Amino acid sequence: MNRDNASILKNEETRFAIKWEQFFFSPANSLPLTIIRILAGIEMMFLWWSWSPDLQQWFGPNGLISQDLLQQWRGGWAFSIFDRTTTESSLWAAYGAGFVAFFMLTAGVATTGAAVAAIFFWISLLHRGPMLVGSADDVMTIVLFCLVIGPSGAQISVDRMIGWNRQELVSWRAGLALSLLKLHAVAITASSLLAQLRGDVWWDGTAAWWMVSRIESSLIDLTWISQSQYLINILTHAITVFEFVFIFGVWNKKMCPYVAGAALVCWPLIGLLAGEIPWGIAMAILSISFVRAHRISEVIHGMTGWKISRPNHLPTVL
Amino acid sequence: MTIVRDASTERNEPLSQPMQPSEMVRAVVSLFLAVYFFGMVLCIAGNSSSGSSVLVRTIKTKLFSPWLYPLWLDLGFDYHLTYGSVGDADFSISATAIQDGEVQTLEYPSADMGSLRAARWRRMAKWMATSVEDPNRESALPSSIGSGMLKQRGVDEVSIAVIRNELFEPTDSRVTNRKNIISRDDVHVETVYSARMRLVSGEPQLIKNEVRRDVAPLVNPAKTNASESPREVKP
Repeated sequence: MNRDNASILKNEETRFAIKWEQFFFSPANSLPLTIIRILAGIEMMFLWWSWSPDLQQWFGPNGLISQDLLQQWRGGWAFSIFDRTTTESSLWAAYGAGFVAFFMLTAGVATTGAAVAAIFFWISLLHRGPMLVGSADDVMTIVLFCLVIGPSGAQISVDRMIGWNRQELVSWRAGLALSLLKLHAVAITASSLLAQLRGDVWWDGTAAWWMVSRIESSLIDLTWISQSQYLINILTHAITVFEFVFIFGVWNKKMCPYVAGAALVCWPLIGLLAGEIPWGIAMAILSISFVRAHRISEVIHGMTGWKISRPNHLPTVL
Repeated sequence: MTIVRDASTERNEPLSQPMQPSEMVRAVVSLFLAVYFFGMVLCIAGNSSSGSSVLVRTIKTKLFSPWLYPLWLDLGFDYHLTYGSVGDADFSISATAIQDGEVQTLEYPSADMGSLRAARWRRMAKWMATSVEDPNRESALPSSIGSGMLKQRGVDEVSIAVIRNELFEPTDSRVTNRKNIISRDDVHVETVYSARMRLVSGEPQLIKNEVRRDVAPLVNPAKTNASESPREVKP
């Protein structure tokens, strides 16, 4: 009996080990990671650029967020390059260098180095004004780390065009980065859903109204939904149902393509409803990790006419 | 042009050996991933707005925060979007700078700001409002903001107020009877924090104003003795 139990336990351990290795170390096409790099890079440049009008007002020598406040706020572990920029010109220089890093990442110039530089500047900015950070900023940090891990410049990049990047189009690092993106997409959704379900408004179906009724933070006026209580209820419950289906559906082989496709549309719409469009787009970018490479190839071909070939036949896209 | 179906992402496809990492690499990465995922779960549990156990907080703070916080990975991801409570309303900052009797009023966010910039000002205003409840941070944000405004504006005194917009019920007559979009003028606002910052001998000094909801009602002693509720007594 004991030997049987030991055998069963050993089999379970082996199965878990195999599943673990398959999930994290199976090679994958880097095309989804490439698309994530380009879209995330564009969003990051947009987010980064949006700091420019208030940069000196927040962080300048006479800025509103003083070093004394930061010492009180964030503890002793944080590091920010912007703590060292004590003059207006040095602040602009560091800010400009950050923008260059994001541009290089988006274009795929020295991609891995650019990704490391981008995350350095990004985290520095978040630590300089931690009380100004929003949900989209958190999600983009996760995406940036995964871009550092995977060969995000292996396709559709300047590196590939000029021959700097000769990485395999299919690699285990791409598989690892995509697996981490998938896990974080589900973890963020699950954590958000649990947080939402602690509020009565998500059960009585009025949450959608309370989101759109913040007329100052809404990008467009959606208060007309008040004309139908049922519509408010449907929108509220649709969000929770979508999040629930996303958490479990993406792991089912048959459901995954549909759930992932729906996620690309639903996340930005939820963001629009909540007045958090950058967060919605960031979640949609994270969800691209569930989309298969050949589907992305088809979409790219349909939109641009570019032919994305099988990696072991033709090694390059551009 | 033809699209070649790329089957390489199918996990069941046999893969050539050179594309897989060595056993040593797999072991090291697996160990790191296991530690990271454990830390991530603790961060999600420990940063939740519903609170967490002392055990979870202690393990997270001692073992994981020292390396996850600098990387901005000490995150709870509890994006509830709304609870329909006053804390989910729109917040803003109103500042009044006074120099030689001349008064200049500034609104943050202002109407011409883009949505991302405005969202940051609203976050700051919300932090200022919620910090009132935290004795360690109560005056930290207003002091920093006030000092910065004194320097930036070159004035001797500035008043700061944190404004909270009201939340509309869906059955509110202003919503149901409207023909056009609701304008900012239709929204009632409440001052949740108010303070003055001024230079005294060159040093900034914060003087907190008592907002109306914090002020005790006037009580007429004669009527109070007659067991009448203080709220009903008129000054």
